[in-house]
Amino acid sequence: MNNKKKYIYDLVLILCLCLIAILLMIITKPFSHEDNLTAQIWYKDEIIEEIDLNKESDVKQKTYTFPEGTIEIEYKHNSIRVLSSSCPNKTCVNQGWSDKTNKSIICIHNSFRIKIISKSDVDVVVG
Amino acid sequence: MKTKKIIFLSNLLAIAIVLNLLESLIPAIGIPGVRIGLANIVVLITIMNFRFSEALSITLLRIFLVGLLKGTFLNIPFFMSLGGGILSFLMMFLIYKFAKFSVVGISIIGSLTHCLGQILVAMIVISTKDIIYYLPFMILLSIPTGVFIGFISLKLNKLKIFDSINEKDISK
Repeated sequence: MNNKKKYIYDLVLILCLCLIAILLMIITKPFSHEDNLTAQIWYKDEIIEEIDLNKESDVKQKTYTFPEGTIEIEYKHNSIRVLSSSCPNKTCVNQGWSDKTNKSIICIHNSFRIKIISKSDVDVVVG
Repeated sequence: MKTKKIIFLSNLLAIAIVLNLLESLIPAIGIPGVRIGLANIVVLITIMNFRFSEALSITLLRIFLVGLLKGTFLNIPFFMSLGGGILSFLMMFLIYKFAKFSVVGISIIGSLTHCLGQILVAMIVISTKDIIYYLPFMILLSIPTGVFIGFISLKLNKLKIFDSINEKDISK
């Protein structure tokens, strides 16, 4: 009986967590699929480059060298990925192509991140 | 401390280290960096069968030794591991002592707080809040991983391997 009660508490916990996750998804709207994407290349807390992914039609590559290591990125129309990195875990490389807003690619070892933003919400037509 | 107890604790530490290293060979599930958390089985078992200080020392030693073995010692991933490990250990211990969840529930909270701890450290270190967008997915993933780890720990604990060395220490 006592064990059964404990499992009911567990079930309530699972349901609460699902509810929190769904609410957070509704509030933050993560990873929406949009056009007009721009990739911001960050190193530590500053933007070192902005790439307009919407303009790109061919596949291009770029290499960045930091004191912590080297990162090679590849980008095409509205998509970007880390092609290779000198970090030990390669989490950033394994993440693959990123083509949604807010779906950042983060390489913690190199203090490097690619933030994808949509420029469509900036171009507001008034009148 | 009894010799038998030291042997058990050292074995558990060795198992935790091996599980942690083995796990890094398994590709991440869904979200970059998300793992099943196999080493959490050992953490749960030590929380259920040993004293606070003994269980905490196993968790800390595992994080330090895995950091040394992987070559990430005192790097950012090490501090993320440390943040997640300590937060999840403390939460699981408190919930085990004071709340009414089963091992499965404790394991779910452990896996969730491990993610939270790592996210918090990463947010401080690389001063970004972008990782927060992964939070709802991490909460959802912590449920199946937590249930899986919880059930394994529950089954292992039912074998009562540690009862013989620990009669006086078991408070629950």
